[in-house]
Amino acid sequence: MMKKYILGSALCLAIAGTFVSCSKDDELDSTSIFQVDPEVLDPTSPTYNFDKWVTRNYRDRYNMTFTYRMKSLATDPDYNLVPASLDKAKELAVLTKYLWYDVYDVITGDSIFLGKYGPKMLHIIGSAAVNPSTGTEILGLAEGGLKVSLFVVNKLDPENAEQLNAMYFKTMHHEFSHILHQTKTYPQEFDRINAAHYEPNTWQERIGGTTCSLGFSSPYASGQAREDFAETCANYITRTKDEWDFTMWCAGKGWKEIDDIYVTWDLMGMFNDAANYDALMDKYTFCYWYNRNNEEKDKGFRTYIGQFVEKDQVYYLTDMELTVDKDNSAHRTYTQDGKNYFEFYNFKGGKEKFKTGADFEKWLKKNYTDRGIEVFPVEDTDGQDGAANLEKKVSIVREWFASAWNIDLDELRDTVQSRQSKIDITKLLAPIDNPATGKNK
Amino acid sequence: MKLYNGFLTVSAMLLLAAAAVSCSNKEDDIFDQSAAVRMDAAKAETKALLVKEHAPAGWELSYFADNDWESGYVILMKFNNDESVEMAGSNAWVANAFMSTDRYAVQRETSLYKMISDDGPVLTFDTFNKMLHIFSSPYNLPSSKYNIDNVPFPEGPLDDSGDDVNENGYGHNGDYEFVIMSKSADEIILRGKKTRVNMRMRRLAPDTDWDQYFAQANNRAANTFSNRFGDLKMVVDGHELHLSNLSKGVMHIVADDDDPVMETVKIPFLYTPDGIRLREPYKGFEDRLADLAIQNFTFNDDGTLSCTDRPVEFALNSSYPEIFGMSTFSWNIDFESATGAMKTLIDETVAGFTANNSYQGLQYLYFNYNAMAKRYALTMRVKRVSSLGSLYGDYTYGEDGTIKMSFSGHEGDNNGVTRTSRVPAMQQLLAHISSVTWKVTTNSPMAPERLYFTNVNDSSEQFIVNLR
Repeated sequence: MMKKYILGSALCLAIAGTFVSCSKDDELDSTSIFQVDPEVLDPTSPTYNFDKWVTRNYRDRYNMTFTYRMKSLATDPDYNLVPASLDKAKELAVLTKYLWYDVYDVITGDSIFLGKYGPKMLHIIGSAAVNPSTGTEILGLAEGGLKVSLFVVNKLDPENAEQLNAMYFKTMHHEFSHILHQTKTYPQEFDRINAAHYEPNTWQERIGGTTCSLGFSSPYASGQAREDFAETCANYITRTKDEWDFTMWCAGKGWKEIDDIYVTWDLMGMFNDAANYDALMDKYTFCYWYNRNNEEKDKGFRTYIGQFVEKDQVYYLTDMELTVDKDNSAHRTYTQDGKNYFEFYNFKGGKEKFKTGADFEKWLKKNYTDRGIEVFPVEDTDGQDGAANLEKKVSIVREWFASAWNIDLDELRDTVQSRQSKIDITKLLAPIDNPATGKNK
Repeated sequence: MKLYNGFLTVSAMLLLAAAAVSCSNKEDDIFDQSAAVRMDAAKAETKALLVKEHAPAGWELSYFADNDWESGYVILMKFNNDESVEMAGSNAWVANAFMSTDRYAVQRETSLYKMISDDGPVLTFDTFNKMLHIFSSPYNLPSSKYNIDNVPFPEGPLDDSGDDVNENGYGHNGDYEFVIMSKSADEIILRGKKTRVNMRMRRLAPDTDWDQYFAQANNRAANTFSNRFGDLKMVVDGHELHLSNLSKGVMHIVADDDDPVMETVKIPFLYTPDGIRLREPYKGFEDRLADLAIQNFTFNDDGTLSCTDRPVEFALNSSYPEIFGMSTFSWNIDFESATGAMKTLIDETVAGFTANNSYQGLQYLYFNYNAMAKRYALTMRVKRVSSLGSLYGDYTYGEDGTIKMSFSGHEGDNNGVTRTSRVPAMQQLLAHISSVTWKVTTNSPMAPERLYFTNVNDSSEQFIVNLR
């Protein structure tokens, strides 16, 4: 009996199923939802030569896109950004190839290395990514090894080698280091060297001299260990020999920070017509001091010299001289005839620059030691041998490049530096600007 | 068991019924084509409107950033089929100049654009063009607060306490990607993708010359409103809207007796050669006046403005004679431009002062209100000495924009009375001014910095005064 019901039910379901399936599916729409092949370049387009060059030199060679027409969907919506100008995008395109892609091709022997490990998309952005709350600016981003974004392209100045180096080439090597260490991790030993000194939230308030002395190649490196690793790679590769030696020189010094807003105001030209913006910093950091006279000595005053300055990530010292009292103030205030006044104890210089330790020491000898003035290095109180720490970090990076990637770091560095020193932007752009006559690879 | 049997039968019938229903009612497609195909079509249609084959002189974009301290800016754009676009702008930011002589120099730049699929069909300008992207750059704006050397660059806003506003990360807060909201042959409405500010593009007439376009629009901007006449009035169905701050390009609107501190609505606007346009419609008091939306005004021949969204009057708070009589204003008589008897008398008065060795000439002569004497006055300064001299009089305003002045020539301060007694032509001038009823008019009704006084009985006689 039960079997009969089951059979009956099955029959009903089968009939129902027949009804349901009676409507026939429509044919698939014959129109493709995809547009005509966008890969075909239009010879009448104003960007034809550029697009052709990019296709040949990036897509065909490394299987990647060089995206110079900004795609806002490929950016972080929390930031307000603007696209790169076409001219700047061209300049960056040839420079990136010359100083990054070609370098690795030379070092590794072919394009396979970057084709395999390089980003799949290089995204070019005109402005920096400015963080409204801290005012910090992001210059580059590497996301998951797939995409590298290069920012501030509209400020690129091919005539300014230092700026190119510090803001663009360094950023490229920094971001690529991230991709490499995200692929094959670096020794944990690196993270332990300065483990106690990372400041993820306040690194931007640190001054380069102070962070060198701890063992970091830049303030940004002192934010967290993986940034330290990328900064060590990038700074070692892109800083010239003089610049790197100067980094090490700074690392061997102790630094005194003086935070006196009157000094800043003076340098902004609020008290004098002749403003000296070069020496302008948030804080004033010095590596030597002396006593001008016994009176000041007895009162605990010190006169500091050897001011550290960082402009667009390039380091140098100035000839600034600043006297502070025992409370670290560079000025005193007083009232006269019912009005308030202030005066600096002693504040001068700031215009002459020294880009090497040797240049500064020569100036120090001539103007102080040789005149019988006894100068003292600022006490290094951070408990770290900055130079030794940096040496250790570089040797870990060197070892890792060799074992993980079979790349000789110093050979890579020499190749980058020799190319950096002879950039001829007109020549590099020639294959784009004059494809008929310009040499095209 | 019987119950179970019945249950099965009913189930089977319900199933059959359901099957029959699903068979007979096939869903019709709402659209003929797939979303992607329609999106491509919308993009292609928009591009076809933009390009110079359809708009040979290009388009006028009424561009507004998302802030309430600066005006909007017109950007003219000429689109090419190859995704290049030429833009022109004429304002302090693109010229990076503050002085009026430099700030209106028309700037041009070519860059790229693209129609993309995003929030619907989106028009993106994906390489940098100063005319547009300068308003999206995320950098802090220069400030008058720290402009120590008085460098002539355009300046960002200060807050209510006079401190510099930090725009780090935002800049002007503008957009360069736009959702296409509607389109027709002559008008496209765009919406900023980030700011959601709606903006209008109008197709330019084929013979439009861009330099002339900006010259006309800038001329309107320079002459329509004046910060000397801060308060204008708009009457909508018996409600008074008080408009101020107009010369800064941001309309401050207070309705009726609303509290100016709490209830001021600030709406940026911009000038085109034919009118002004507000960033968004003013909908200030919907609770009292339904569907009020005031956004567009066109210039009338006399320089006044008519709202095209709704018939409203737009006028100064006072008549021209009353403005002439405002205690805070002084008006120089223009010695060169008078006609008829006034010309003769002015020339003779000037000659009379020149001939007198104590005076050696008449520097200027102006109408003002003497606050010490609490009287209207005609005040003179002679060339030899800097001390002023005033003669007192009274004004009577007529209903039809006329004024009657009375200066006896005997009432005034010492300098005024003495000087007048020594120059007979001055006495005749005063007597003539006082004997005539004058009609007061202007060529710039929203900013009457120049007033024309015409003899009501003899229209060939006229003199002109300029606001000091």
